Amino acid sequence: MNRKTEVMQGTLGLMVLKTLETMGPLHGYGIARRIEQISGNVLSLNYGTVYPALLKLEQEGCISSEWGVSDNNRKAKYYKITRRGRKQLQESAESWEQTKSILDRFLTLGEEAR
Amino acid sequence: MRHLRAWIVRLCGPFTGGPQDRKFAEEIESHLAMHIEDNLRSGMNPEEARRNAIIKLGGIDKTFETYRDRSRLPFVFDMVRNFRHASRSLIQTPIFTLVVVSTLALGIGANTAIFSAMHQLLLGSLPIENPEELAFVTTSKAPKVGSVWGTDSGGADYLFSYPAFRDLERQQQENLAELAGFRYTNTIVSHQNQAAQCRILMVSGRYFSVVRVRPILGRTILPVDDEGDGSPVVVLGYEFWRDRFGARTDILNQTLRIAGQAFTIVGVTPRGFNGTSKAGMQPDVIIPLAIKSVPSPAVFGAERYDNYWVYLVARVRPGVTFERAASTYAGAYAETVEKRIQTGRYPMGPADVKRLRNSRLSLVDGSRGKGGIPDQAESSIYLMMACTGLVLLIAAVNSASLLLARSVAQRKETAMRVALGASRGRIIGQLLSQAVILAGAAGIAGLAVSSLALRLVNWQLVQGGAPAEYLVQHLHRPVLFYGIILALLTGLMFGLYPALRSARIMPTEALNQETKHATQARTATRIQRTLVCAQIMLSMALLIPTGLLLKTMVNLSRVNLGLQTENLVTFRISPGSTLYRPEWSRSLFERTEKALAAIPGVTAVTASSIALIGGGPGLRNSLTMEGYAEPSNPILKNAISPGFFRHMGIPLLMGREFTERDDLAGQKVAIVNEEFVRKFYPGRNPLGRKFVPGWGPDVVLDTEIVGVVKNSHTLGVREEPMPAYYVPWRQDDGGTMTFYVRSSLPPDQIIPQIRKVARTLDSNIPLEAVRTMDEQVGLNLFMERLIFRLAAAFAVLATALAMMGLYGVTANGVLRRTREFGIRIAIGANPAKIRMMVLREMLPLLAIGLIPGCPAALGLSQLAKSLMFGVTTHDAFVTAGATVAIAVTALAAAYLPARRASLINPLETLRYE
Repeated sequence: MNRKTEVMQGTLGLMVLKTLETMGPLHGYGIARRIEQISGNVLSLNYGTVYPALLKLEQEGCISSEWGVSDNNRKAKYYKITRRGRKQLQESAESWEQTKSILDRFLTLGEEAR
Repeated sequence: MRHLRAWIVRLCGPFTGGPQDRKFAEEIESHLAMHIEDNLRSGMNPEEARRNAIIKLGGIDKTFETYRDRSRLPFVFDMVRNFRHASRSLIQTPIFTLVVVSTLALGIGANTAIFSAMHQLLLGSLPIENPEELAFVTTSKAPKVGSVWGTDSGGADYLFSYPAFRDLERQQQENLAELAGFRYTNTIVSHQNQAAQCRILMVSGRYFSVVRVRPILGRTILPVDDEGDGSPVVVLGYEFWRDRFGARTDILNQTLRIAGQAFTIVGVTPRGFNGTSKAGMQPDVIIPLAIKSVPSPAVFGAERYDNYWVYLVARVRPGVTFERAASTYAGAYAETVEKRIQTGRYPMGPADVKRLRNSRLSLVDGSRGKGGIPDQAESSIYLMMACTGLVLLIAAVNSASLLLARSVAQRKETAMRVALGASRGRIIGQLLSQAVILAGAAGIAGLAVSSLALRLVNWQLVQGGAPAEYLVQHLHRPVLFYGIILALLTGLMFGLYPALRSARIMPTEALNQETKHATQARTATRIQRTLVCAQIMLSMALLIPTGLLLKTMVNLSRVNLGLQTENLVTFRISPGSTLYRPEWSRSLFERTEKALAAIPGVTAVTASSIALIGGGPGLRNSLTMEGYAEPSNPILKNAISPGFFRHMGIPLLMGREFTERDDLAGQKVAIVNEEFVRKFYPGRNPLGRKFVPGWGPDVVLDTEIVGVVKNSHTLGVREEPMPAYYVPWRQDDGGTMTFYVRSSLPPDQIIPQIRKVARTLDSNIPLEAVRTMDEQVGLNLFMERLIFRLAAAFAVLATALAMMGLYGVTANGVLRRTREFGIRIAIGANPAKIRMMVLREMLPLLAIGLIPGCPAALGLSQLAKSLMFGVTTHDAFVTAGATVAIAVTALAAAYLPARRASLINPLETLRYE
């Protein structure tokens, strides 16, 4: 159970970073909505799980946060990607690309053999 | 790096917890508000919008929990929280905490102190290189016929004759072991007109290479010093060098006089060099073994195979077994056996010859050293060990039952917490942290107690006049470690069970059903009762040996020594260990007697060669006697002054006392005691009969019995009547004499005068063992008194703890049955009957505890056996006394709760629960 959420959080972190990179500073609710949208509502996401992921990234120094005011004049905590976060995003993205291409090759290999 | 950073932030989590939680609450609040707004915009009604937002979030509490877990390290946080909670609840019950901590602290403290003593005295390896290679050489069951001069360096099995040692030493064929000889003795050492009786260690040339001790100054004794008759060189012990020479480094090549002969100082041994003895045998000076005739020509001079006085120690090469090493000496040993049989002066019977030829030389473990501690002290330490172990056990049992009672009392709270979702792990963790806190506190307090206890033991030792070397210097570091481990183990042991039990609690049961609650509480009570039985058993096991020791003390104080010890000051001089010849010694004794008698206020002066009740071994001689073909067994000999019996209050039964005319010029005379007559001349007149010390074809019966005296104690308080004979010191060659000065003046006035007089006679002869005769008798019983006091303290402690446990169980039982008692009283039971009911419940506990207590006590008493006097280990009176003592205190402990039960107000009990 624990392990599963860990794995989830790993990819979730990457999604959060990418979202923040493309969208600029954003609050937790906005991030959650955005991830859900991008995934085309395929991913069933509990919005609550975004917050531990944000906390983890903040603890690691990949993002920073500050309180601000939303479009509807609401107080909200805004998250912003840091330099360390961009570097981390790049590394993770590369590593995911690599994993993806290796897996792709494996899977196609399997098809040829059949 | 990234992970490390996160970890550190989380580690700090618990301490920044409060504000962070509040901030997150705000964030979630704003999240929900935004979500609800969006939902409303998409057309939901307010109720639905809110519900949807919360569901989408995944539950508010759940979110909080995962967030919190992420913000801290859950494990650390739990631990901190458990400890915080546990210490809070312990502080809320200060009496409980205090009782448990002090109980355990006493147990741990006493254990640590006694273990330190034991470690120092018995278990510690010698402080030398690779002690496991060290072996003592012994010959099992070889009869030693001849002169046997043992010390506490080992029994007769460990003694060798000087020529036999040299024969073995030469045996180096396979070089598996290195052999050295040594011997402790006492003699007078003087330096610049300051003389003192000193402890001498004589060692063979290879000794220092065997024990691998390097000098801190100069050199040690080398093989070259030990050739021929030996070179007069001396190595100083550290303490002697520090005390007598102020640790000066320019003392090399200075001259020291040992027994009157000049020796050259060549080195100093390191601090704490104890030879191969366990404790308290720091030699003052060390000289070559070959020069042995100087300290005592009579004992060490004769190089005969039947003159046994050397001890042997060997270092075995690494990897070689002791058996293998010993076998290389088998041939050489057999040769020494033959030489003994052929050349010995004392004849051997054929049986002894056969046994001697069958004897083998063997090596035994020498890593822990040998000697320096009397056997009695050794068994006393084991006894104390057992006692403290029992006390700790009782303390642990007591704490366990208190914790158990507490966990029962806390059931409701625990059940409530389980109902509110606390996990079992957390409940167990919390109870365990409670136990660990208690044990930790007890461990710290225990260390304080142990250093106090150590001081107490040392104080007792000093009060008893024990030599400084017996004092336990410090708590041994491994022992400190042991104390802490002990505390934690105890904590876990008594914490785990209640914790596991509590974790099984079903919230509904505990909260709702009084009956179920009762059955569960009853299981707890059953365990508690078992624990109380164990405590009673342990108290019994301690009380009985204490009772036996008490009886011993009473018996010893009632012993009639047959002497008048009041108003008597005693001291000893030993001119014989200088170059004083016997006639000089005699003249010094005579002048001393006269000078002492001239001190104003002195009513009588007398002297004897044996220090009365001094605990020494005494000198014994075999006698050839008129009317007997065979020589007697060795008989105690004491050389005395004229008027000795009159002044010491020993009644003269027949004949006369010695006079000053009984000197070398006159007929040799002797006075014997009743026991002597009973043994050798029963029903016959012993007066006028003749005997002579020693035997052989050429002895002449030249000593005439002129008197008979009543038996009196000579060596110690515990001694049984034994045959003894007295000779006038004017006809004896003794080199040491103990004087007795009777005076009505208090000791602190008479002792300085004695010292002044002694200085005018010969300033080179130091006064030794200056004390009153009553002190001397007290010293003789020192060990018994010390052990008795310690054992009594432990027994009282143990009983008090057991009674506390009993009180707790009874009180708990009464509390549990409050309603029952209320109803009984309401329907007419009278208070006395209720009281009896409660007290009766305790009786089986008492009986079950007492019965196995007896055999346990018997085991413990065995250890104290060597200390006992006039009692057997299964003394009915003592056993009955201990039983009654426990029964009475148990009744007292149970009475209070019983009384409370009988005073229960029935109206109140209806409201109870």
